[in-house]
Amino acid sequence: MTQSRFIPSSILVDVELPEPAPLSPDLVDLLASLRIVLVGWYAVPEQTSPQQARDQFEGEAEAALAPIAQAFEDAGAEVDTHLVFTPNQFDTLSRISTEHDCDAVLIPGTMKHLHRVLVPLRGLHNARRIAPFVADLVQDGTTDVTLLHVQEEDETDDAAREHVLEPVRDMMTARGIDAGIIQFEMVASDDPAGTIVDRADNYDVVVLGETQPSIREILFGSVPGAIAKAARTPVIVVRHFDEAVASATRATQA
Amino acid sequence: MSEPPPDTEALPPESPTETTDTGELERTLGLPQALAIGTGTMVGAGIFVFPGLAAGQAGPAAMLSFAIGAVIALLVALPTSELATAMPESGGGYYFISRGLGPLLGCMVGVGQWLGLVFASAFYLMGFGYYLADIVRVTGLADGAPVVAVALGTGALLTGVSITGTKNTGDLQNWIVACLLVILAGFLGHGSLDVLGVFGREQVPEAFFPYGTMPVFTTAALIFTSYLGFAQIATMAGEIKDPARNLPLSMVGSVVLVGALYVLTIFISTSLLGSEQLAGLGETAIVNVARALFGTFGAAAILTGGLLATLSSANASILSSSRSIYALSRDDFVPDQVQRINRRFRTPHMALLLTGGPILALLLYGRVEVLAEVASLLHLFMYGLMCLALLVLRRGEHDWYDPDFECPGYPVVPIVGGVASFGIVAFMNPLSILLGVGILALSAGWFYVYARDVTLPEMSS
Repeated sequence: MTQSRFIPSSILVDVELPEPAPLSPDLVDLLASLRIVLVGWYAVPEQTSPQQARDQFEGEAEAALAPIAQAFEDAGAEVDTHLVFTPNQFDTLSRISTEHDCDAVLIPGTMKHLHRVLVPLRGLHNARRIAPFVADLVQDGTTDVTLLHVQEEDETDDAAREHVLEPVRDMMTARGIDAGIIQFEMVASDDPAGTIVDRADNYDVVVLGETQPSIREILFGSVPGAIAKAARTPVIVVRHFDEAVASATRATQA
Repeated sequence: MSEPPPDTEALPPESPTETTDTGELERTLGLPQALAIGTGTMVGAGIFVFPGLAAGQAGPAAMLSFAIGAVIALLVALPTSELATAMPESGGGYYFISRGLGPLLGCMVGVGQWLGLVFASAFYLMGFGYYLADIVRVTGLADGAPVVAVALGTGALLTGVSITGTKNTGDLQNWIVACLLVILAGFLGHGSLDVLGVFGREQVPEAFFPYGTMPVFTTAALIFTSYLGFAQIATMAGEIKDPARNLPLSMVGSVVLVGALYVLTIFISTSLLGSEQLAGLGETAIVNVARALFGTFGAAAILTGGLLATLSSANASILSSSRSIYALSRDDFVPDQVQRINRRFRTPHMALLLTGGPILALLLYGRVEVLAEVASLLHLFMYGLMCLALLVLRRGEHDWYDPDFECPGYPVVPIVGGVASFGIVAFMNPLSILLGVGILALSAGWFYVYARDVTLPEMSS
């Protein structure tokens, strides 16, 4: 197993219970090389004690969550399953992603097959987190990866290639990826989000970094949410490197 | 003959993966939210309903009555904090007492907690009715509105919304409390300076004890409803983040905060208008105090505040009451059906109806003072027993009893707190005592008829 040389990256996958939206089998296969932190959340209104909801609905919630966990396990993933009764799913997802130090968060979408992955990059600041994650994702070598750099005003193609794209490619090859599957693309644009949305249609999944630290921003609003909505492509948001530290600090201060 | 059936021994040991509590419960309430629950539940009564009634009974010495209430509440809040950090479970006082003092007293407290909050909600809704009637009168829409009818309609609406509402109002509650504190800070801050003569105003000269010292205690018994919110924080102990820190801070903090606001309110009100005039103004006397200080703008601000405060107090009490019913039902003291959650709205509709229904019945009766005192009495019974439960649990040296917060001043604080809780009841109006004791007797009767065989689950550490 090539993966055994590394601890695979982890991704947080959340489903709403008791009636989870179906995850497409190809998406499950795509994520199978990763550690899956599967969170089934059951929303409880404030009028109801979460404990009371658990007393009554735990059985059916477990029954709804189990097949999803099973599907990931059958595909070969390592799965860590959580069932949570919560008045606020953002609190829950944020807590769990910090506790388990998740590298990324999935925004599900429809996916038929996996041939092309789009990885938009803006500078190198988050690349140390994104590159190994994408490498883990495409370990089987059958997928093309496009590293897309959206350039700032006075940046030249050469500079972008040298300072962003090549270092990211090198980080990926260092993790066992064949350089042949990686393509470069550079584009100058005033509207990075729009550019990414336009291109996302031609890809099967988008992996991008997120500088906004809050899970609420990731799932609602912000660039990744807009892309997921506009392109209906699954989006994987690689979390900001400092987030775990930042959240932990916030938790102790709160 | 005495041999066990052969297959008994052949049964495999229980599978280690089989767990009953795999679902996690998210704790979502931080310190500000917990403070808002306590403050939001309390502030409606003490400032917006009682000043006129209290000043009418005790004169400026009503300040002392509110201070006595605050001291008793603090003496109970400290032991409650210890119990809540040792048992951070839904149910609050009911849970501590049933585990500390046994099922009979537990059942009585649980029923008392449910009905105590029903009486309190009815009281807040009457307050709301008076405020709405006042607004209707001030704005000239009509000569006034029928207070009881308004309270009934609002009570029915609140119950309906809490059953069907899917939008969480937690944030709204926080904003309401923040708004109220801003209004009150302006009102009380400016009012204090004004009364102290900074702006050259003359006070209404008055003796501190115009009616003697006895009314100080009867008034303390009457207004104790103003301090019923802190224990509601304990009923949500299972939902509070970092309970070891946030439970004691929010309970003690909210009592200190509202206590200070109450004393200041009485000080300003009696200095400005005098007790006799306040008494004549009744439930909404504070509006006239604001008018005297700030004119129409002040009156409008306080009217708005009064509406918000009484409504949020009533709403918080209804939600809290339904959690008490759940706690009773979980332990089989009442039929299982009442804790059922509605599949569509995911709300405990039976428990909410069992709170809303009796509230409407009480509103038809509608005597504010009696509603307030019965609510207080049922809570004070629980407070006294919580202090006792602390003494019993500490002496019991149970393995599972390991509080993160230890009540300071043990054993003096819980002993004095317990004695004071029971003692203040003696100063209530005889009708209130009769009703309160009657309810407790009925709940004891219920225990012997329905629940005497209940065994509570073993505590584990």
